[in-house]
Amino acid sequence: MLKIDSVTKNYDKKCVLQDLSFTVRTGEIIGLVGENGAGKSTLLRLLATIDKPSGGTITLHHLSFDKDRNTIRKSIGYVPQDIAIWEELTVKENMQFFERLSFKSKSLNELRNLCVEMNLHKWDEPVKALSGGMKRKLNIAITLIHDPEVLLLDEPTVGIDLKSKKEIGSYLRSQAKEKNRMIIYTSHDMDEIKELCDRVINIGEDKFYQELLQKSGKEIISI
Amino acid sequence: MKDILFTRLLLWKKKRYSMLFWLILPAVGTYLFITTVSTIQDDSKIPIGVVIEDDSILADQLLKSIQNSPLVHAMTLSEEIAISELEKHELDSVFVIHEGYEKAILDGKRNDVISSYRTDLSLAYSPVKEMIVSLVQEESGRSKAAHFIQNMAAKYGSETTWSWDEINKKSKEVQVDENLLNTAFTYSEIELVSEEPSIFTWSTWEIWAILSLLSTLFLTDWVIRERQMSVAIRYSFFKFSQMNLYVKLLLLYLVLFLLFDLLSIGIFVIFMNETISISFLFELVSFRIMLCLLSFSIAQCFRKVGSYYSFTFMLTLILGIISGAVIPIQGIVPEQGIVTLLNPIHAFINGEITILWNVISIVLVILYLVRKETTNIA
Ligand SMILES: Nc1ncnc2c1ncn2[C@@H]1O[C@H](COP(=O)(O)OP(=O)(O)OP(=O)(O)O)[C@@H](O)[C@H]1O
Ligand SMILES: [Mg+2]
Repeated sequence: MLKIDSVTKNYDKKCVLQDLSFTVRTGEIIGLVGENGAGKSTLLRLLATIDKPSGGTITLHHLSFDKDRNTIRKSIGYVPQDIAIWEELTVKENMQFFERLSFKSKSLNELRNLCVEMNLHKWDEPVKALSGGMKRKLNIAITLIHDPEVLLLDEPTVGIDLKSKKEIGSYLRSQAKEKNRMIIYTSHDMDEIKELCDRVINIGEDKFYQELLQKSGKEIISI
Repeated sequence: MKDILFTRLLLWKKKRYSMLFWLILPAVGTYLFITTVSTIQDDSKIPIGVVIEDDSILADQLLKSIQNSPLVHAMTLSEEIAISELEKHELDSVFVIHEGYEKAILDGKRNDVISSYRTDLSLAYSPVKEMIVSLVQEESGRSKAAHFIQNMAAKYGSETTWSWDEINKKSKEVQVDENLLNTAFTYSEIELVSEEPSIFTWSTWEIWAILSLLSTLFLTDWVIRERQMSVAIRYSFFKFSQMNLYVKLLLLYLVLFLLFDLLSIGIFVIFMNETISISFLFELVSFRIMLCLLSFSIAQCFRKVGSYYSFTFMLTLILGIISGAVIPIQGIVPEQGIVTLLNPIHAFINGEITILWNVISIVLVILYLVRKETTNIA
């Protein structure tokens, strides 16, 4: 269980997140919605341990994000909003590079299957020759190498075609339901959010998304 | 370490040409620089022809003295060829060491032992002639003294006898000693590094040190590049801690550089007649470790590669100048003092093991890595 308790985040004097509390259970998919600059990426960075909250605590199965950071990192898969891959390497080389340094080792075959599951069928192509959507798929595949228990995805499906989006969506769903993973992700695509998420968290003052989603009957937590 | 090597090889493969360029730059650059400079220096010497008719030790010694002179570039030729070259103005003048030269010198006769050819265009004839005459005088004076001593020894029945060669050698030693004394007196604060003050001498390893500094700094740009890239965020999710990762990367780069240092040694030994001692190897390795660590620490201070490159060039230029490696200005910068202390390549250039700057660099790297490990945030 991932527990976020009264978390606050300030940049200098500016308050981005204020007194945020919620819990995520295993097997759950949480959607984060909110206008640009609401603080979605900021929250994901805190949950990914690569930034520290200004106040409040975060725990994963009672492990403290503050004290057990290195242990917690092994369970975290973070797909950053900016694509984080080696442009000059091929798809295969990218997968190999990150597998070698990853917490878990995988065979070349397993790596390739991971890409196929992301609907990425290029393998020996250099990344700079890939389309934007394909790069996003690789960006997700790399994060999945060490089978993280908590998956944090920051706008993972931007620019991905509808068919692949659905396939990635059902893959993530199976990960959550069959392997008991927690998935938290942000998106501006409300259809996707409606289809995929168990619960939605609305970040920021603006209640636009909340009203939009309420009609679909989703449970919405507004903070 | 295997994993680090594997992943680095993936990245190195993609930029192999630029990496190779920087890695071989110190060896190849030094070789090209030194050979070019010595060719230019040879070209600026006055070409003269020397015809040797006398097959003797003394004639041979005179020829060597002429060839060692910074003023001329002397070629031994037959009289016929020498004259035809002279007519084509390929040679400034021609000097013939006549048969019986040694005998004449030993007998103390100095007239008509050498004759010369020249043309209207033999502009440098006078100074060259003066130089050769003085060399002959030197030789004949020395041999006269030697004969005098030998005769005296024979006459008064001394127990020890000296051969002519021994006396000759001793006299040269005395001459060298006196020269040094004179110089030390004239320029009491300047260390004499060259016996030919009018002509610059570049030391192979000094040039190499400067080029190595430049290439090491340039090849350490990955520190800045990778920190700026979006992949940097993934470094937090590696099985190695950041400290562990960077220590291994530093070691890997050190090994890579040392391999290419071996190449430099090979090139200099084979093509440039440099000799390498065991103590030199220690100096080289300590210098190389310092370069790697210092470059790493410097790269940590920059956010943009552009400004890092500019700084790199400036630093290399400044250190090159104050070390006297690029422009030989030994004597302008005082040998001791704050400037030498602040110069990280000073120890190596002066044939010492780099200690001070290794300590400084290690402290800087440890400070950086510990800070990175404690904040532990991308
Ligand atoms: N490193 C930082 N320093 C200062 N302010 C920051 C920093 N990172 C983010 N912010 C600010 O925090 C606020 C939230 O940014 P964040 O990136 O979390 O928004 P977001 O909800 O992800 O927006 P988007 O939908 O555009 O991705 C913004 O106003 C931004 O300017
Ligand atoms: Mg964002």
